[in-house]
Amino acid sequence: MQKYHHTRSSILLLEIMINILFFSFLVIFCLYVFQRTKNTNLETKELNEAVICVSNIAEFFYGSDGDSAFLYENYPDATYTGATMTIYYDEDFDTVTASEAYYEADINFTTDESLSSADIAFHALNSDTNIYTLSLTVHLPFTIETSFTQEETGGTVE
Amino acid sequence: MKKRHAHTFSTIGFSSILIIFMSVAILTFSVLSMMTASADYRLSKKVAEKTSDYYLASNEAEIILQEIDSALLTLYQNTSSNTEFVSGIETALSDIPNLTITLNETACIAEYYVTINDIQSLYVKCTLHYPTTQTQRFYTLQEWKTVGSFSEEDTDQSLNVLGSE
Repeated sequence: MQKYHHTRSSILLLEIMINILFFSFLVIFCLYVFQRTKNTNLETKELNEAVICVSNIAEFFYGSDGDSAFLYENYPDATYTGATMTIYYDEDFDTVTASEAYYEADINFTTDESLSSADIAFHALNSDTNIYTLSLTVHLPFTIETSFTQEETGGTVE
Repeated sequence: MKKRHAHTFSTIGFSSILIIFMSVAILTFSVLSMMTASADYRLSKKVAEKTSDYYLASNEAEIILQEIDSALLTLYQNTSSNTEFVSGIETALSDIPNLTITLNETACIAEYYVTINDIQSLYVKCTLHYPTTQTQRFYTLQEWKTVGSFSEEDTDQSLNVLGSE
């Protein structure tokens, strides 16, 4: 009888050990899945916010008829060189100065005749991979003044 | 002794059942959270693509606007009066594809569509005019909006009801 009881205890112990082993594997797998979920959620948040930030820049650019100086007036914490602009964002995607930045939007301005273009790339400071990019083109409207300039420069629009 | 034996016997298997239930619960939660996160990410990607498509169409619309403006500038340089300018608009803009010009007594209106995706287009409407001041433009934008580009025939207006074939 004593021997029978000992066997039952061994089976119970073995069962618990197998269960703990199985549960450990399951926990490892679930932790991996939860970690991936967290990363996916972070990527989703970054993408959503990047689209909003870049769209805001785009609307300012369109609203100002491609005037980069006007864009700089609305983002005073940005770094502006005339041909390029970098707007800085913190982890909550609010505009900040360069020293507090976690994300940045790099903008390259080009002007080709009467078309003003801007290439915007939004990325994290610690990564070269762009989260979202957008190219914009705005037509700079002609006026009678343009007509005079065109005649003076021999047919090319400046 | 008999009582003790019965108690030991009932304990075996209980931990396994508990682990199985816990495993099913944790696994379900993890898979559901993963599926939700993936669905959110796919939706965000679609929103980003739609936004890119809109701005691509906007860029294309701006290029068409430039063609219209260039043609009007050339026309302005070759004409000397408002009447001559307005009468020459249709001919000047005839080279621009998909552009509709409507001339009436009060205004000259140019309209065009740029495709955004399968179901949406960007509609642009502008009034063309002869500039009277140095800084006045050759056109005034009236509308710049996204419209549905599907026709009535494409729209599924059928309604499934019980007993219908």
